[in-house]
Amino acid sequence: MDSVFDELYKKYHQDVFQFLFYMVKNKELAEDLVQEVYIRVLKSYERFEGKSSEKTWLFSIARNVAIDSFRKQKGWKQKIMEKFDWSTQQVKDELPLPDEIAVQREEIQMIYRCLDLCTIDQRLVIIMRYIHELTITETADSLGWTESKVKTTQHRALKVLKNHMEHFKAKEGMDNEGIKVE
Amino acid sequence: MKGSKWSDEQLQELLSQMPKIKDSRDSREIYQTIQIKMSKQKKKTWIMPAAAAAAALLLLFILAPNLMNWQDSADKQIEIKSDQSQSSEQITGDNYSIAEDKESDPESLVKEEDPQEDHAQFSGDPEKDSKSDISMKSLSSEASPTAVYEEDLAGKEVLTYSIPDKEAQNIVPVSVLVDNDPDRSKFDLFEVTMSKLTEEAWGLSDYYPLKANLSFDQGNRMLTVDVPADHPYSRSSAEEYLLENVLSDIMKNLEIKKINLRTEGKAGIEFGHYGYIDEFIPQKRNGNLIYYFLYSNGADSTPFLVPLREELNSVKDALKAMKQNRTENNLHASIPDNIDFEIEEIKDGKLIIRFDNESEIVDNAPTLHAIEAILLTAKDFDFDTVKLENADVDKIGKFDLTEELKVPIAANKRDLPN
Repeated sequence: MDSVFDELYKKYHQDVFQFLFYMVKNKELAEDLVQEVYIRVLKSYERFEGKSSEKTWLFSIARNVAIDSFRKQKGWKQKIMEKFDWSTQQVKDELPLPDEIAVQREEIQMIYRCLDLCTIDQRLVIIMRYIHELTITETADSLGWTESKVKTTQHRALKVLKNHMEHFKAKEGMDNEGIKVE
Repeated sequence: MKGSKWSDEQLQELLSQMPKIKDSRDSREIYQTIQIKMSKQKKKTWIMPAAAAAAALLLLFILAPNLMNWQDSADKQIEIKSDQSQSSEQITGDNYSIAEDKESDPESLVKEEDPQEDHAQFSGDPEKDSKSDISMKSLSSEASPTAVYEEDLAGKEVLTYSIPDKEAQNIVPVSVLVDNDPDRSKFDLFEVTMSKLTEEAWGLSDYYPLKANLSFDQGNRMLTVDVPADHPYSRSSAEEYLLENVLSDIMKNLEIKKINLRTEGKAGIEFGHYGYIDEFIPQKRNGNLIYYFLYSNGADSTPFLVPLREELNSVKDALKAMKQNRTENNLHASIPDNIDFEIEEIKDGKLIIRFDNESEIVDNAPTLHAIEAILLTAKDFDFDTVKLENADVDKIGKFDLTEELKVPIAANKRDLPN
């Protein structure tokens, strides 16, 4: 087996996979995408000059792969298929929670759902900063942004999450009350 | 819980507790799928160029016989042309004696024998002729030139009309080719053809036929323009300006020495700007004609090459000026920005232009039209030929860049409706 692949796999595979999973929220798709990350990495590994750390370099490639996949999803084919295939249309909003999430407490499930309501940039920052616990510098490096852009995006993202979490809570509370009355 | 506020810290805490998600596959399994995918991608990059090469070969195979034929027919054309030019000399010689006879039926022009038939007789081989027809068609799918060249002239007379564009901002010289007619002078052809022009279809404004009776004294080369009382030509200063330009172009193109102006048979026309004038004397104009592009039918259409009169020191300055858009006249630069060149040598009516290495000279319509603009401007600076050097290709449209290019006969060839 390729020594480069072997090394990267050992060091970062689960990180990259998890990052992609939280971006696309679909295990099968994340499995495909992580392979795409390796393909891009192996093709351009000679060009990796060690300017940034290996880790942020991998994250930046993973981020590009994720964004490309979003673009692909929005291709004309999908749009047309969606129109005809009503079953996917209904399912799409209520994707079943993966097992790992479903067994967690309610708040975790809620925040997992709320991630959908962030923009892609905001989601990138949230996942990198809080789930993977990258530093601001590492995040800026991976995204090719300035540190101040990371900070403002992070601030806005938390605000969006907060708003929606409260909104969710309020709705849920009302539902519960409704049940009690009956 | 209702109405509870989340703090940043609580959210961060929550996010850090998100479960770890693991890829359950084996690394070997992943490596294998990657390898398969990578080899597939490599295959793909190989397939496309191969398919393109195969298509190109096929195309070459189909076109090669036609191109070879075209060579033949080009030779034949020259033969025909030399024959034709002999006969046209005779015709013009005759013209002077017959010119007075203006009563001849205008229909006879239409009935005039088709020179195409003559061509067939010359070649004596109808099969060959039809083949050359086909090859000419395959040629015309390339970028086609807009001007009239010497080789277009066989048996034809060029008539040039100055036509205002839609905004009456520019005057566009449009040339049409009509069959030579031994019974008619060039002036007669000019007058008859006036009514066949389709200015509006060309994207210009309707101007011909002139709303006037024209009578031409062939011997003294004197034209009399007799307008009706309600003529439009003094309606505005723009109309007067147009008429002035149109008349002076007619004078130049038809070698007329004098133009008399009349209104309903009485001498003189009353102009708002110039007053009462009975003899048209063209204003002496200095400078040279520099050609620009006019896109009268949208940016994708074939441009008109429109001359602006500019006082410039040299052809070098003129060619430099052609790289500028002339927005005040709605005219576009006729030499693209990415083409740079040096004027190398100027002698014996021959202009040598050497393109810089960075210039992109490729075989496409914009480059072809730029070359035509250069040729037309060179013509106005009294050059006979232009040699273009250091181009990336040897051939652009009909131009063989390894040869000296002859300047065109006239700009903006357009076809008349049948």
